Amino acid sequence: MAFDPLEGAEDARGKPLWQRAAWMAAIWLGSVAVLGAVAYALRLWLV
Amino acid sequence: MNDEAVSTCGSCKQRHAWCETYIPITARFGYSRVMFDQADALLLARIQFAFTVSFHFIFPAFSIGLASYLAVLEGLWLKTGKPLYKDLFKYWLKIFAIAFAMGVVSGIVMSYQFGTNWSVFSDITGPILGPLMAYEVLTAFFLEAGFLGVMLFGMNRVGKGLHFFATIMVAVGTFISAFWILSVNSWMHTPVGWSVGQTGQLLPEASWLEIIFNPSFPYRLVHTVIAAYLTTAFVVGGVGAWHLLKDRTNSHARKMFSMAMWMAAIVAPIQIFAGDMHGLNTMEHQPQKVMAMEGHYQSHPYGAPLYLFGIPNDEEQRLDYAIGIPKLSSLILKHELDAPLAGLDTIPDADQPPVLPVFFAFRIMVGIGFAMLGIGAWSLFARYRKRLYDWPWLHRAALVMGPSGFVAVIAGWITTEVGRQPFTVYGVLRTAQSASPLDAPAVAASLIAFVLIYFAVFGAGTWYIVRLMSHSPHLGEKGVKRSETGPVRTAGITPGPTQNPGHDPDALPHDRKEAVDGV
Repeated sequence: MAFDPLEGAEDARGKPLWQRAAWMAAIWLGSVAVLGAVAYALRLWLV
Repeated sequence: MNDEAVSTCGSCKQRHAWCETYIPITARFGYSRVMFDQADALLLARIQFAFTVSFHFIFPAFSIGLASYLAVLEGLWLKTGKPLYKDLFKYWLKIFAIAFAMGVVSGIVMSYQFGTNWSVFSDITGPILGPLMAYEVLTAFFLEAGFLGVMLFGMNRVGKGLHFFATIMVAVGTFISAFWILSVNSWMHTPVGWSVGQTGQLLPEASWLEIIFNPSFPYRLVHTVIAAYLTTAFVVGGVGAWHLLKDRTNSHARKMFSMAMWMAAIVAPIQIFAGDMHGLNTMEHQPQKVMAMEGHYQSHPYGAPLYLFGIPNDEEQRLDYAIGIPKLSSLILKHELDAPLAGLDTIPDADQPPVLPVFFAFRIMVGIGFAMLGIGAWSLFARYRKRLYDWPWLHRAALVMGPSGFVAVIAGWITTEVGRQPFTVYGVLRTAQSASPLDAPAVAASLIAFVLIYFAVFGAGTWYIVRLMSHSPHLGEKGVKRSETGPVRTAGITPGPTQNPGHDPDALPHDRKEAVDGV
């Protein structure tokens, strides 16, 4: 499957703002958690 | 110089003017003796930091500018609806994601290294630098990394508006991140607003604003952020030029080349001006760094020459094989031909930076800056003649200059950091008194591990970025015409034979030649 970050905007059209904002918060939280996991793994390796 | 302080300083055995500060600090830890007994461990720790920071600096120098470029591209796409901007956004987003990931991971390693190899520095400066570095890390986590996920995977969930908001947050996050880390770095060059506590730590005085906006910070922030924008502009311009050399009708390559050359033409002169201001600020606060940059071992009471070339000889305290322009350095630094300029002969030996790396790194940085200015001017002339996309020598020059920004920022980094030596906090804390009390084999082992892993991981990442850049900006745009003069498909779900004659009908041709010739 091709990586296409700007496709699918029409999927979100018409959905209420709270639902889209909730998705943004969830993806944001997941991204921060991934970086947190990477940072912790590095800490285990280095310290 | 306080002679009494010098004669009573049994801790570090060196002449300096800040013994009253050093003695309580070093006596508290009892490390200075250990440091001098373990000079090899100190050297290895310095090599390790130089290695890891040089690797790290490459990635934010690219991602700071690229994040803003992506925000501009997405904004233009939303405003104009032109698919060209959307294609360019998609093309550079993949590259940004990889560069950003490598920048964040190598940055985390840097943070940990303050604790492993530079624990005395961290302990002494922690009350001041700790909060500022924490803000930098929080920004990297919660603005840059968090919203990058939305940028990459969120369009079909959050819609165009919130997606654009996320892109802007990433761009703003890279700038705020740079703001905090450069404030930290600048304070190490021009420490203000501190006092020595009873524990020997450096403590903040009344004003945090004085610490954050320390005297060299505004100049360093402007000079470094502009350097990052120029670095990105020349990478984008180099990639655009590469594809123009293959196909000058490629509209995507034309657009990215044109945008990059506007940046070069407008920002390169501003950067030279900002660099000059930064240099004048450095002369005011760190004169020995400027003496090293200029190769001025001797004072010049009646106007100092600008040395274009020479071989610094620290042992003899002279510049061998020097080629210089009389009085020009005085004119640049003091705006007067006969203005006196002090040399390193006015600085105690123990407080002098190593001149050779500073002298050459400064010339490399300045040389690249003027080359960037030349490319910008050349592009303006080509644009005026309406030949911006038609002059292959301009494209070749832009291609060669593509990675020049990275060389310039590393050279600039060497100039300013080596120029601060032998201090980590200028005039307050020596490098030899900042390192952890580690044995040389321990530091050597981690250094070898860093070298192996960095070259493997970041080498692979960089190779993949270059591979992505080598593909035409049309990559992944199935069903979209491949250039202004290419075939236009109006129906069907598979590529027509004119787009990919004699090949897998599900695969698009890689370039215009393949599309036309089928080879």
